[in-house]
Amino acid sequence: MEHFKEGLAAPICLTWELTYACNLACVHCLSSSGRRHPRELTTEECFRVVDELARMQVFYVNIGGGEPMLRRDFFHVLAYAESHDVGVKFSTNGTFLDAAAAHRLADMDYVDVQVSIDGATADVNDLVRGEGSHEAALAAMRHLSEADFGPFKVSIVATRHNIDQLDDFKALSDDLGAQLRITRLRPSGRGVDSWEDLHPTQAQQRRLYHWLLERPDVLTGDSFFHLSALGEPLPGLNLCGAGRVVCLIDPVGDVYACPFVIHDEFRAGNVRDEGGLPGCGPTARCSLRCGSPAIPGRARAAAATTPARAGAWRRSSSWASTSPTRIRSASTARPMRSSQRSQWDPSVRVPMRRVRVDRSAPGRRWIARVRARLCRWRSRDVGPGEPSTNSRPASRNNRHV
Amino acid sequence: MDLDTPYRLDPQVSLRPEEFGALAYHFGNRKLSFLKHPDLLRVLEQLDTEPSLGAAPESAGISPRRWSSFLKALETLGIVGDDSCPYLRPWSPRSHRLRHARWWSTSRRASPRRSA
Ligand SMILES: C[S@@+](CC[C@H](N)C(=O)[O-])C[C@H]1O[C@@H](n2cnc3c(N)ncnc32)[C@H](O)[C@@H]1O
Ligand code: SF4
Repeated sequence: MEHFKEGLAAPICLTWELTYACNLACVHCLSSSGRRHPRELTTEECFRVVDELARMQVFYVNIGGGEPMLRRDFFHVLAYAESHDVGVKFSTNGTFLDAAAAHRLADMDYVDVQVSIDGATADVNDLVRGEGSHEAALAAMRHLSEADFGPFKVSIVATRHNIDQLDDFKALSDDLGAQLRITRLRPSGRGVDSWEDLHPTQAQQRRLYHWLLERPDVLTGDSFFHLSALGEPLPGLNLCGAGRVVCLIDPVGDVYACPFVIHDEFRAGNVRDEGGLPGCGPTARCSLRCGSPAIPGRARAAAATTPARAGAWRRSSSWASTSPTRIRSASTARPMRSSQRSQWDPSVRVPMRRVRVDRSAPGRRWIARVRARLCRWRSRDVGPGEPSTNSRPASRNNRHV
Repeated sequence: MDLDTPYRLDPQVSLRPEEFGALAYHFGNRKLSFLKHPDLLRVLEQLDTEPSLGAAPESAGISPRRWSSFLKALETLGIVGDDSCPYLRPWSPRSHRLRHARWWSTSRRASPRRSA
């Protein structure tokens, strides 16, 4: 743990959003996914990223999105990564994980799969993830267990509505021979809009904390370090590793120091730039200095969800070698993710599955409608007025709205 | 562990040099470990040509004073994680062949293999 603070030769936990395209439009989606971006990395460029990951000895990469399985070249990228000794852990909503895909995945040694659901029952899940999504996710899980994939993960984002179903989630994943993974709701992307309706109440957070303490086999990652103030820390990465341990590559190749504070201020570069991914290292390192591991509880939580102003230049050593001239001072940085503003380049073709995507889904009207539904749900279920643990997020970083 | 037999790094283990030493990732059980001294990395990197585990620290140029602590570290690595995923494995031409035979014949669940 000590070593994480000092910085590493390369990130360990690298998130790679393969596409913005998604067939669903979850109200809490932190990547505000919906439509694919015209400038998403091509297959060749994805292969180059894998080459760089292999060279930097990033042991594995977490692939997300968007719905990564929507890319036609998804399995090609997986195979390429595997053959270059870069392990892949990917997250999917399960819609395209049919029996054939499950068998293909089962044949790959270094691929781990996580299927996301946000409710143990269709009514709770579909409220957040959209109609039919519960069934699709369950079908995907069944395909995986029938294909004898081995232990896959079932990923749940804890919300006000599903915290009462924790035991059901556990039973479900035990049934399927899967591992349960619970993450904290983060107020980014559309999660900002649905935050008020979804975030767990203080009482629920406390319940969740004790539930997790009793079940060390439930995975949490770094997700609940803000609850450590309640007593014994939960196992996991209990510090902010932005720019040191973690890192994100977005669908257009922009590199950020932290997968949850995606803001132009913290953009470290682009994999298409001259220095490639290794060149983004020092910028990522210097652009974000937040979450000192010594800050307890609430402040730590805030540090994890609020972009801290850029601080000291930590060290000049980088993930690899590059000249420090690429470092931009935070004050001159632009206010938003630049992929929002990039131009359409018709010559770039990203191979995608053809599916009917509900174009109106990520739109504001739709979100307002779902919010209204959630509000009705809330007044029926929990009762209004319970104070929240986290204060309202200071930053909004919506895109595609 | 037997200091007189040669040991090899498990082929599923990947070492990444770091300022503090190295990171070791085991692709078999997806576990990450820390090697907290650059010299330890040197010893491991040279292991492939060592006639025995006991000889490794010496030929990596480690001063005799520190041999015992290095051997202790190597021993820990040999048993880290569950039994099916140690970092070091005893090596003999025979075990080498057998191991490869097993990898090719079993599925990912039983013993994930590292594609070369
Ligand atoms: C953005 S999705 C991308 C991969 C894929 N489409 C999926 O849903 O699994 C990755 C994971 O983040 C979770 N997630 C979405 N919005 C979130 C939020 N606001 N806070 C925390 N996790 C969130 C999803 O439930 C999913 O498990
Ligand atoms: S969280 Fe939902 S909307 Fe966001 S990418 Fe995953 S499935 Fe799509």
